[in-house]
Amino acid sequence: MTWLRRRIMREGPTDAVSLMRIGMALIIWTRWGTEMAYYWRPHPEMWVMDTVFFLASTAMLVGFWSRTSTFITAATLFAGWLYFAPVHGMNSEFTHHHTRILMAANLFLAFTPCGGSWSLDRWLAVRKARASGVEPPANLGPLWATDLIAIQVSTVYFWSAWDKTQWGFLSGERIENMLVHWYFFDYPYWLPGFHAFCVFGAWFTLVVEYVLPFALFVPRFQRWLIPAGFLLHAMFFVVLPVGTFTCTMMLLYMAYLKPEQVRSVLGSMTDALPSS
Amino acid sequence: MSDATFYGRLAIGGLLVAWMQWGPVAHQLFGQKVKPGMSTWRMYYGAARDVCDARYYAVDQAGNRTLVNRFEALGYDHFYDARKAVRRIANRSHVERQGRQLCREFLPAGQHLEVDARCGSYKGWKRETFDGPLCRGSFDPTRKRSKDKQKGKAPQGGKQ
Repeated sequence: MTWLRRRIMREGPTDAVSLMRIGMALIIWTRWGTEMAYYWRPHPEMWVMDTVFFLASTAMLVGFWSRTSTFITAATLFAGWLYFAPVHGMNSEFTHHHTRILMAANLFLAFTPCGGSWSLDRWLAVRKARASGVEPPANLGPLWATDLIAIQVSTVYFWSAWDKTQWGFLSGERIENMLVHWYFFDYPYWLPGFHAFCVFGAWFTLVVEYVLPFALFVPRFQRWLIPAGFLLHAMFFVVLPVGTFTCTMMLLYMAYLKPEQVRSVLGSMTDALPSS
Repeated sequence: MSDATFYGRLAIGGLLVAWMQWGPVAHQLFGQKVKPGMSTWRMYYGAARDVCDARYYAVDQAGNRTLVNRFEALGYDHFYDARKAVRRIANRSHVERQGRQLCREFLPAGQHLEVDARCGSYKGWKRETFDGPLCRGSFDPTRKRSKDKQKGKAPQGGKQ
């Protein structure tokens, strides 16, 4: 219980969650910007949602009323999934796995001090403090909800691996299906080692997806696993139609990192260590 | 910080983790139907099922089987030049349909077409069986072909 209490009550630099807010707002625009534009589905209910979505996500991006705007952005996306998808037939926009992880992470981010750094909120707080002749507030905050984001990423990996734990996948045939579907169109009998490659790919993917959800939490493994995960997702990005999934997962890896580490790296790269 | 803060965060966090796990546990572990608000993580579960590996054979009267290059037979130099509907065979009926097209536009009279086919599914390749030949050749080289390009060459025979 002591460990849990320490974990839940911990406070730390807000750089990582703030960068996640900015990155997530941009990914959200990339994913839904077109479908949420007024012309896309002309309907009064949609126009209301579009307006709320763009106001909230813009505020989220610049970090104005950061937690509230992040929460409202998440709420519009959940409304899209639970109401607009069934009622307005927006299934393709809201029911894919790459959209659901983005929504969930967006919601959890609203429980973090995601406006603590790199935000209009921070700038206003510093300005106010200077005007009053006091020290700017430390950009530290409670980070318990960051773990929710990490647990969500691990959940995706684990259950995805669980779904693949069946002979159709482990025999390499599902990967063959995909490669024939997108690239070869006929089974490439002429290509030596094709089947062996698919079998290896299947087992490799499964092992990685079972290892990552647990090992990513261990700091000493992160040095190797994060680049490996990046490489895997980068490969998915160029060979499979994964949409924003790759960018989302790469961004959310930040939830596993020690926030002090993120601050230190940022400081060493920018020469301007944020005050704390 | 007070106990209230700790237990408050614990409760909210616990609920959110429970929500996260609810979908996969209910659907992927216990096979319940997906309900609104439930997330499942079955990446590429449904992908690439609409694909078949079909090998067409021209069979002459002596029973010799010759593998047909379906792209070449329908007049394409490369698979990437072929129309989308020709390029990827999606399912059993598509295997039959493309077979009929080959009979009509490529296979000379006196030969028939057989196929070894398997189609994608969640459990990998699923073999498709057909009773007897798919169709009999009816291509008349003197007649102009209507749909695809007109480069197809008639099979020369030979065993596979």
